[in-house]
Amino acid sequence: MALTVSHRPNDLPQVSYVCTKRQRGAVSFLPAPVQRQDTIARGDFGQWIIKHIGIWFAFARRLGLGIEQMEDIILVTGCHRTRSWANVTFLEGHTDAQVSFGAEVTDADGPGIDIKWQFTPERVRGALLNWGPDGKVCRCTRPPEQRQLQPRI
Amino acid sequence: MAHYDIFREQLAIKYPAYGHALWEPSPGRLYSPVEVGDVGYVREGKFHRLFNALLPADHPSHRTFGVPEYHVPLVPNPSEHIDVGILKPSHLCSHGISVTTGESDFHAK
Repeated sequence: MALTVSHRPNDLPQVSYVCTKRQRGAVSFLPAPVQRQDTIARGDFGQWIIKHIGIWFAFARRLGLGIEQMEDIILVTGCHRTRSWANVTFLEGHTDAQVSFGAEVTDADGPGIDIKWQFTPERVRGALLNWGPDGKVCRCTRPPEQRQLQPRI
Repeated sequence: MAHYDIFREQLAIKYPAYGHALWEPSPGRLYSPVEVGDVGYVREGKFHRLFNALLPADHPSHRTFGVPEYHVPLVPNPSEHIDVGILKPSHLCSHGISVTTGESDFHAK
């Protein structure tokens, strides 16, 4: 396989990520403003989970969800919410791992952000991608338009 | 290590204050978007909500799984306890990642 650098007139603006030294890596590309929520009552949350974790774990076990350890139970004290994303994981052992994709965002601060993605398999080497919705992604608070990211524990 | 665990691990090293990075951020159709107070678990890079510790047992969001026995909502002090903010559009990259932007890129022949 030969690689060439090229210019594609119809491409969206491109971004490329390179992971060197055959190591693991990760990228979270967030094309739109992200909402952050955090409780300031961290102490109350901490005491609450200590007091109730036994009952919560038993509840989760009864639901038959395959939760085996108490440590698997999470109480969310903060989160970031995004309306779209592109997540990349670089796998170990690839000497020239690289990902390129096109992303275009219009009306980024408006009520209806418009996101265009452009992904092609031949622009992905030694990595896996997962990306969120495109098109109009509104600023509402109900699924599927608003997505969750990174609950803090 | 699975790709969703590599994703979480690598971003946690670089951005420890940002919490648990989810490979699959979408709540899908089964769950509400994540909220402060949610109790759940992460599996294969996705957060699964069971109930919310801040909400009463009869809250509509508890219809799917119910709540644990003797559930009493947590009432933090102060009651207005959620700080909100905005993170500008950006990309979060783990150590060892280099970034280029522009019109040129590579493709296989």
